[in-house]
Amino acid sequence: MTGLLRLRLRRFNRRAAMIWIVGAACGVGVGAVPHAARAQSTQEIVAQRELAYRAARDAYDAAVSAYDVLSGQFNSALRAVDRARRAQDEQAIQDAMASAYERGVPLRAQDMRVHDAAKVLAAARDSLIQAITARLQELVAEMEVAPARQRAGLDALFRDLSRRLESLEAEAAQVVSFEPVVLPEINFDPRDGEVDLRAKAELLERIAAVADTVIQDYDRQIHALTNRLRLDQQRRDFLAGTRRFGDTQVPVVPVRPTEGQQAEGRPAAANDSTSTSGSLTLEQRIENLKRARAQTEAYRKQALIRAAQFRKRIGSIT
Amino acid sequence: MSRMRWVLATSAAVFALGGAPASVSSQVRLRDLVFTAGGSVERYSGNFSSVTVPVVDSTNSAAAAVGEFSARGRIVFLQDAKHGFERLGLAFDGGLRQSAAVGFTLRDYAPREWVGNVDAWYQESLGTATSLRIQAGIQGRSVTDRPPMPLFLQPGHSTLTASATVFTRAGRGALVDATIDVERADYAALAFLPQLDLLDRTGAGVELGASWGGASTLRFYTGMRWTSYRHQGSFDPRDPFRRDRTVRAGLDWRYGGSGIFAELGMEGTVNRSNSDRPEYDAVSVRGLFSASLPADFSLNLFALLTQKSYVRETEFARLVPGEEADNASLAYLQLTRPLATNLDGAIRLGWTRAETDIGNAYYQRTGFSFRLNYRPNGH
Repeated sequence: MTGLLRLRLRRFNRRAAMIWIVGAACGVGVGAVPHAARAQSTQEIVAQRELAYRAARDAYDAAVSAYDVLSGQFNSALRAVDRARRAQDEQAIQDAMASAYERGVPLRAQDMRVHDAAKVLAAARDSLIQAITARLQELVAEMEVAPARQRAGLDALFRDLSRRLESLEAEAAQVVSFEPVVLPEINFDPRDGEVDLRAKAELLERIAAVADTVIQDYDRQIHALTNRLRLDQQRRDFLAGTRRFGDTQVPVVPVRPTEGQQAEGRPAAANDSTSTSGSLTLEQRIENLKRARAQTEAYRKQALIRAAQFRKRIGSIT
Repeated sequence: MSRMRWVLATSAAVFALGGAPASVSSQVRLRDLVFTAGGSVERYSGNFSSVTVPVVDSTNSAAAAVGEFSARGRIVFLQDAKHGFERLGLAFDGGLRQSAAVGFTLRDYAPREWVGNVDAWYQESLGTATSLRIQAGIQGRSVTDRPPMPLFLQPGHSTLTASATVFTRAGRGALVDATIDVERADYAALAFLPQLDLLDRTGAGVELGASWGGASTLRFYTGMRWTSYRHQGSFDPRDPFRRDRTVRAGLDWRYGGSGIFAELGMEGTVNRSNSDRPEYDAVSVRGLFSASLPADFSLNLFALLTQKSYVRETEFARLVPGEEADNASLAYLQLTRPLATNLDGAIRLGWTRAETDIGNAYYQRTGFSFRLNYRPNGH
């Protein structure tokens, strides 16, 4: 039995450092506590962290599912742009572009939520791995002093926890891309023949082309807003320079805050024509557009990758 | 220092009152940080007769070389994640201006001005059509070796301000705003010019406005203001200190298009007081125009005209020292061009004409300056 334990410990040699760090941390905290109570405590920690991990996993899966739905809506909007472009209906193109932008906003927000959920999941997993590793260390110590009739039970527990640890480590070691699967409704189907695969590849390429025109439109908007921002900043510099030392202050006649003061980085809700709950500054609008552009760029790239995969599969079945 | 603590405490209080809604992002962001360096040459002239020379060593002609450094920007502490607006922030602007003035009768002057402004704001959405904005600010200014006329420099002071504004959507696309504000100004009296204390004041005001439009916006407003000058006498033993009541009404038109920004404002003021001396009616017109020009140049023009008429004749001087810029007209023209990615260069022409505290005695200032505006964080 002792030999078997040694083998198992060698198997976890790579984790030795972690085991001892976590074990030492646990030991510092519970050094004076009886052995059984300490084991009970570590076991409880493992159970708690397992629950936390499952909650994080559920939250992540839910976030990805929501992203898939929004991604599908965004994709539909891009296809509407494509249809309008084919029909050469300028008004419909503008409407569809606006719709694509509007649908891109919640998509970007959900994308951020997915990334946040992925970070929480990774942290919960690391935390659980640490607790399990510490518990395994404890089990080795317990088995060495336990009566023969208890060893079998401890050994079974050791093996269960080892398997759980391996699966968690495998999950962590994967080059896990937390990028959600793009274009969920265009998937491989085992029944797809060459014609179906080619049609799907062409659809994806067309979507990529539409995304390309949307990106160009974003670039135009970013360029126009950047020019406007520069002019706006130059005006603010001008006003700040004239009033900083009181040169434009006219005594006696009360002067309420003028454009110069409002424009000094304080968004004046009175100027906002879209919402009374606050206005976006030009910097924020440019920031949002750049984010939307990056999102669409990633979308386009993934569509092309998927199209290439479909075409590769065509080659493999012919 | 205690005032700074007051500003910070106010900021903390408004934040605490508003709470920290779940839809805010607490990442601190430094926005639009800009450093400015500039130099200018200025010429001052007046039409002071020997009888109306306002202060010893005044002259009819003086000149100055001026250099200045300044920094301004804003820090955003909380941003509304849902609507994207800046919820809690702080704007700052400070600088140093050093002049070397020559041409006076007795000696040359080297006035040095330090200024610093800090404004904190908090904005909260009150439902879908209404929002609240609370603002608190402190402005400080100190001047050493302040010269006599015709080189007028605002006197040093420290001022505290606070305001609350409610914006709400009304019918027919109108955006209605209502503001209440309070102010306390304390002027730094100099040993040889104790009259500056006369400018100390406390005030409170209300303003109601309504605006319509999008790219082109028209706003009408009216307001009432109560100001108390605790060091100025009213010559009325029953009500010995000056108290003013001011009614204002005006309109602003603003247009923001591609490569063009224009603003035009007109305001009428009726000031009544328990003292005869400062009762007046005034009209001011203000214009601002910005436009992109070829070769990456941009043009900025600002002009302000003020005309005052006093209600009663008096044998006393209308204004107290520190106010000598009555009936002012001023204009600034600036051409700006990017010199590098983060650096703008500008040349500016400035002109001011104003009346001193002695009737029909004017001074005039013309200046030419070159300025560099550097944004380390880029545009």
